[in-house]
Amino acid sequence: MRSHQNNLLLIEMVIVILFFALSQAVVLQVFTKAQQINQDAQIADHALMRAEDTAETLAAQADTEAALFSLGFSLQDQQYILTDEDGYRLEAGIERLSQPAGILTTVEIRAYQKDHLLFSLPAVQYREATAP
Amino acid sequence: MKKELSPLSHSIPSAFLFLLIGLFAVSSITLTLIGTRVYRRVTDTAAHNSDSQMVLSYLCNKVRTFDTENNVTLTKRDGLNVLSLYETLDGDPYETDIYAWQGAMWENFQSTGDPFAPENGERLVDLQSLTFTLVSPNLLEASVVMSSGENRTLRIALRAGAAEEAN
Repeated sequence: MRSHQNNLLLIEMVIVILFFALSQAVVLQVFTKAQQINQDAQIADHALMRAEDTAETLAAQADTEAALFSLGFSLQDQQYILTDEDGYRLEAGIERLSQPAGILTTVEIRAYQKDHLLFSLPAVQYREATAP
Repeated sequence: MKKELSPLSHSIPSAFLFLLIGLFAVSSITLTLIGTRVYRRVTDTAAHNSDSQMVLSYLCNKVRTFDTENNVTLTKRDGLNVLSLYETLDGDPYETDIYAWQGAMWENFQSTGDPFAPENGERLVDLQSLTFTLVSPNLLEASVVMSSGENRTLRIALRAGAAEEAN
């Protein structure tokens, strides 16, 4: 009778501990996800700062390509690409619209984390045509 | 007939039980430590980002407000790298000076021409250093090193024209 009670207690303890172990596994997953979200937010924040700096530099300098090279971009397959060690990649695509009055240059700066698009930031620059 | 249990047969379930409880205790402590570390890291990152974003956004807004011709100037005063922003109020010239001094960012508003005294300013936020440079005549760069050691850089294109660099 006493042995039977002992066995019941043991089974009960095992069930309780298994339940808590399962809860711990779930909580651990939540912690890991929180850390991942935090890291992703930091990467997105750094990418945004870099993209804003790029846009400001483009607004201030007349030669778009030279400005991109000076910021560390390199030309690959018609795209200007900058890969940062923080874990993001910036791509800049240039479009020009020429009119008799001047040239409208639009640089679309896209930030990626791996292959996931984080955001897209257009930088528009207008240069008046010089009088002949 | 009553079956006799040996002392060893009693001790095996007890040992197993203690082992399980011990394992549970160890994993609980580990989980608590991991949780604390994650929580601390998340809150630290949020605080650092918030501080540096606040400083950079403040600088950006200030420069944007004063971004008119010849009103943004970089100067050296008392050995400090100062961003001077000029304006005219009721016909009188005034300046707002932003600089890093004694481990903080300060802002000083005074009449143009008054002697510069860094202690007269208002202490805004703690940081290690704040430097301003002109990358090109109309591109201002502000580099901030926060108290946590975090380094951030902000570039601001001056729409109204070139900034001046005076000594």
